[in-house]
Amino acid sequence: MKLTKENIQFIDTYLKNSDVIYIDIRQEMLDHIASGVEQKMATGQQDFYDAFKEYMVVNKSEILKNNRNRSSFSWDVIRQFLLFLVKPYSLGVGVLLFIFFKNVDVNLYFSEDFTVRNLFFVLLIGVVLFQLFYFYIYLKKRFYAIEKTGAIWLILYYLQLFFLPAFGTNDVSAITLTISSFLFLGYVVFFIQELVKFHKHRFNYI
Amino acid sequence: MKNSQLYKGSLTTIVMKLLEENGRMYGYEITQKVKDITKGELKITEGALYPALHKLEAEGVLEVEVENVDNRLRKYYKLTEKGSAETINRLAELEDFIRNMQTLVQPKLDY
Repeated sequence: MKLTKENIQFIDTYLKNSDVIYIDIRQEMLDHIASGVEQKMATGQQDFYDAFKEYMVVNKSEILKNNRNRSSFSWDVIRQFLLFLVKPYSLGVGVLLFIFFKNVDVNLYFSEDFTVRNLFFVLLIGVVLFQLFYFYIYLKKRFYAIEKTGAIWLILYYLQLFFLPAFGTNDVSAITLTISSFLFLGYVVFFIQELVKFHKHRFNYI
Repeated sequence: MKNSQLYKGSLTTIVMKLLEENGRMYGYEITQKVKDITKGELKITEGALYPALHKLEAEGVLEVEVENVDNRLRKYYKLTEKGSAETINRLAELEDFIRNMQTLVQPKLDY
């Protein structure tokens, strides 16, 4: 016995009210629950609401466990980012950056009012503003597939606070510049890759 | 999952083996298939299955196809080329593990 659009909407609202905020996660849970309820309705000769109630009493905690693991901080995405950074072409860019910073003293191009440290801070803030605009104004819906990259940004933000404090005045070494630029560029490219991947499959979620 | 500590490490291999045999499957179908094959002895929980599927997808072992089925979207998983090769390796590892366990648990005694 197949569920109606109203039944599907009911499950979706139930999941929304259970704090399953990401659409992509909710869709998969919804299909799982709907399949289980359909099976229950077929074998137990129950109506939708009885079958749904009975199914959720037994399976709710396990199904929602999948949502609890979906915090914005994802170790999986950090692992993917690190794997991306150690790819040969990424490392090649890292070497080129080091050669560049070793031979060009970029500190000379900045003043006390706007240091290299300030630049990295502004770049990171710029990236997060773009992401906020993209998530909340352009997409208007929340997708775990794309928001999970925020975990990497958070780490980069704390790293720059620690290694490149915005209020320091002394020059930044070539190694620090290389690592900072490497991580920042890596993150931008990684985010763009995820964005392209997400858009390629976006019709899947809407 | 029944006796989860023993089965936990084999979950991804079980999923990959099923996908190798069945082409493409969706989450609920995988749980039911395992239940049917093991006659209800082994039950894969949703809380274990979906994170495992998403991890395999992120690793490029699985790819996804989404279809509109019965008023909702359904996410089908299937093995990528890399995934098919990986399945062979993981099954070989699992078989080795089972063989070693059998040797340890039921050693053939020479008299």
